[in-house]
Amino acid sequence: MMLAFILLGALAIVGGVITIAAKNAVHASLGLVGTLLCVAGLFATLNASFLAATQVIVYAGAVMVLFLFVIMLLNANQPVTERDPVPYVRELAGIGGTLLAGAFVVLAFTFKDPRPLAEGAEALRGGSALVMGETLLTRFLLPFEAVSILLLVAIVGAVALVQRPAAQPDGVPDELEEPVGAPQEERRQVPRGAAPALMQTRGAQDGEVRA
Amino acid sequence: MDSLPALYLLPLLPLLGFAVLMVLPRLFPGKTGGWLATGMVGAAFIVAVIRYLNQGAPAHETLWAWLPNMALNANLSVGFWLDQLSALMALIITGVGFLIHLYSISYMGHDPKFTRFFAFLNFFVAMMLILVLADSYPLMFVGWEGVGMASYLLIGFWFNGRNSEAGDAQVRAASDAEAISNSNAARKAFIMNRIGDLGFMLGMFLLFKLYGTLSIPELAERVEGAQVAQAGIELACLFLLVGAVGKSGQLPLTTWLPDAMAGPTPVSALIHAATMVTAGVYLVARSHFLYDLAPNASTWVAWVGGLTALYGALSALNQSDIKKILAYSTVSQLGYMFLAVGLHAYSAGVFHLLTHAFFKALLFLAAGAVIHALHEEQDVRKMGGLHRFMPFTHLVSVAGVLAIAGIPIWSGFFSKDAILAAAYEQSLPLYLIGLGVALLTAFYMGRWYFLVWRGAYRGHGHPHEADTLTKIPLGVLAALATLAGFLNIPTFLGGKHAFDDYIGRAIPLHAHEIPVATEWLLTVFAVLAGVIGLGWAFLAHRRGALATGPLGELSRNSLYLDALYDNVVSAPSRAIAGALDTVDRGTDDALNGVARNASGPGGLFTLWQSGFVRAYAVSMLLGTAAIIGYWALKTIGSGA
Amino acid sequence: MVPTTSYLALSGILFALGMIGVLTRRTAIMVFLSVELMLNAANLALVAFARSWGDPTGQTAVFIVMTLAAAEVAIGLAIIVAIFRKRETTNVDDLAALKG
Repeated sequence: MMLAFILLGALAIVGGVITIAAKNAVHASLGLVGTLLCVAGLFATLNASFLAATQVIVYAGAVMVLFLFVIMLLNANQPVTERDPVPYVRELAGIGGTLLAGAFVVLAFTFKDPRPLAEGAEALRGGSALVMGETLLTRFLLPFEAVSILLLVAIVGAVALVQRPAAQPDGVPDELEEPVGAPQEERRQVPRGAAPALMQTRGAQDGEVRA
Repeated sequence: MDSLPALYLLPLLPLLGFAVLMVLPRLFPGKTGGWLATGMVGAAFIVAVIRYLNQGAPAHETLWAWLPNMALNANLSVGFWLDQLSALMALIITGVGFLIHLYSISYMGHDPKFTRFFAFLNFFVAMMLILVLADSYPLMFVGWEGVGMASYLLIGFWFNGRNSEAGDAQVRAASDAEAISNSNAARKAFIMNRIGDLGFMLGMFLLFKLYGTLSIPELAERVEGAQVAQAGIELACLFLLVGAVGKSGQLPLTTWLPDAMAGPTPVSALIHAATMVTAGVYLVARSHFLYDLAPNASTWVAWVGGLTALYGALSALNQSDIKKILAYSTVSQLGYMFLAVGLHAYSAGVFHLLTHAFFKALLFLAAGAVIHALHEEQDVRKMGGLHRFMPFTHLVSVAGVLAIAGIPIWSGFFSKDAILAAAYEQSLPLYLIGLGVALLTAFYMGRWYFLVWRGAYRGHGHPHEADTLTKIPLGVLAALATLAGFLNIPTFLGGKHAFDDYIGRAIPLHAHEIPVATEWLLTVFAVLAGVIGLGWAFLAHRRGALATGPLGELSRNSLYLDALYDNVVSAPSRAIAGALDTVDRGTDDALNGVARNASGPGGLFTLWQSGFVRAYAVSMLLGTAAIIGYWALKTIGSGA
Repeated sequence: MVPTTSYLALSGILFALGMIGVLTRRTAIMVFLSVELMLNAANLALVAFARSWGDPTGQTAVFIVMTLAAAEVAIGLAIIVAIFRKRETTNVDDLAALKG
């Protein structure tokens, strides 16, 4: 048991270091996947079998795939190379992070278990889907439902965010833009089909940029 | 009682008219909006008449609960209370209001804001009905504020001048100057009324503190047995008096009323003569059960009224604006009403309110017809001899002048006589003031009459007689001004005091104790005062010396009351404001100096505010690390 | 059985790593990845506490945090895509409109 913990913990830390240090974004996300898988293993050692499975499926699976997809989509796997505009941020972050980690470790070792570990582990009944389902659908029914609504909102929000706005005033080429305060008669002469045509050209331009 | 139309219909109908005309003015092209408004008030009048004819015990109809715990054992509700007093007021408001609406259709016919004018008029009538029908002081206050609002809107109705669109630059400049004075008059009325409203509110607070209820019927029952400090009642009555003084343009808050003549003439007739300004009288009469217990406050009311009557009469002597004369006359007549109700002669006061509503509305409408005929000329010195051009209007004006001068058989004679009799009974100085004012009234109304109607025409335009639509209200009002007095023929003239009996069912009457002979004498004195006043005016007219009345500049400037307020209230206010402005600027400069000095070192910190999120996050991390590090060190320390 | 303290210490270390990542990485996506790391560190601590107390509440909380994280990733990535479209960059330093 101890061996598994040391192995998984070390791997998780290595993955974390890769995540924050790798130059290539794809490498960094693969490092994170490693960490997530190790954490899943640690969950398993903590009598949380259902969570371990969820961690693998949702986190290491779905979420990370989404990340990789966006990295590829935006072609953002190369690091920013210009000089960092924030002075000493690396040093300060290193010092602060080390301090924080040290403080956490110190505080962690002052923690005392409220009851014998074996007893607690027994009470969890392996953290199976049965146990989780029982808690979620009885004691935490309201948060459970709230979270489901939150997910729905997130879906709608994501769709709304990436949707291309119907008419973007500053995206219209100047020669097609109506002069401000033009008389009503002249304004009517702009053909009705002009707006959709504009949007199509814009779409084509974006495609080029993306490629 | 079930088949009677509900009381809430009275204010609701004009309010509906207001809402429709305000929201959908385009539905009413031409003069249809005016006819709708007139119809609404006419319908309200019919309701009022039906309720009046079927009147038994006072009716109390509640609509819905309003203010929790504002009454003794229940919540204060929005409700209407119809007794003899409020029924009479409702009849006056809807009846005279209907006639004036009718008149306005012709008078305002060419105004571009015709429909809006009628919306405002309807709003006023609705609010005035709420005021008089309210069953509690807070609801009355709603109407009180509503009529103040309507008054403000209508005084400033020509807030951008009557000719703001005129092509002629000179006409437009005059119109702009008129616009400023109109707007100022409206604001003045509003602000002066606020002072009175403060008094009304303080009065309400005090009454609630004393009796624990603000419902009028409850209060009337309650005051009899309640053990409260005499000073409390007196103070509450004085507060209410302040409210009444503000609304009715009594001294010392009187200066807004003459300025209110900036509004269209029908407004002057309806609001600033017949109805709204009498709200103060109504308030005192309505609160008679309080004033009966407060002799000192009542004396105050009487003296305020007496002095205002004198002030108004003296100021009216040498005015040259056809409407200003009538305005000061209104101030003076309102003083009479206050004098009466202050002496607990409520019936006499309310009776004068009734007759005054008729003859003063009549005089204002006649003045409006004259102004119209002379193409907006208001200076009486440029009129004269108009009886040849406008025979009908002349005839009704004669009725109005005779009524206000107190010549027998016209209504003013009966009502003024009743007030003077009550004054004689209780206070000789007040009686003498009243008699003197009666003489002055006859004189300045005579002056008004002779300057406008008699002698040679001194103007330039071509006067024309009013149209039929204008003549109907004038005729009806003239008939009422002539005949209304017969409602209340005193006993010594063989009458039955019908009006006193009627009002007496709502307000207990004080028995007359004057011997018949004395009463005859008083009547003769009053009639003599009227005749002498008119005769004096006639003699002056024959000498051609009417254009400038007596007292010269003193009267023209209305005893310098406006100037006094300007110097005593406004000038110090302006000085204080100027001083504060200087202090403010100095303080600003000092603070700016401090700020400039501080911005130097402050600039260093702006380096931190680089706008980069990560820079902020690092600051946060360092802070968090410091706190948690300190916590960890402390844990180690205590654990070791 | 591995003591809870070890898990907590590991969790703290992972959290600090994530923190450093958030501060030093300069593209929005990498910042985001580091935030995920921090979230996982916190989850680990929660599960460790759940075993320590013998109460599945901690595990339930982790479950809900995972759901939230999924929602957050969806929205966050959508925002990144929208920003990229508008400004052709994911460099967080270019988004310095907060400059005082």
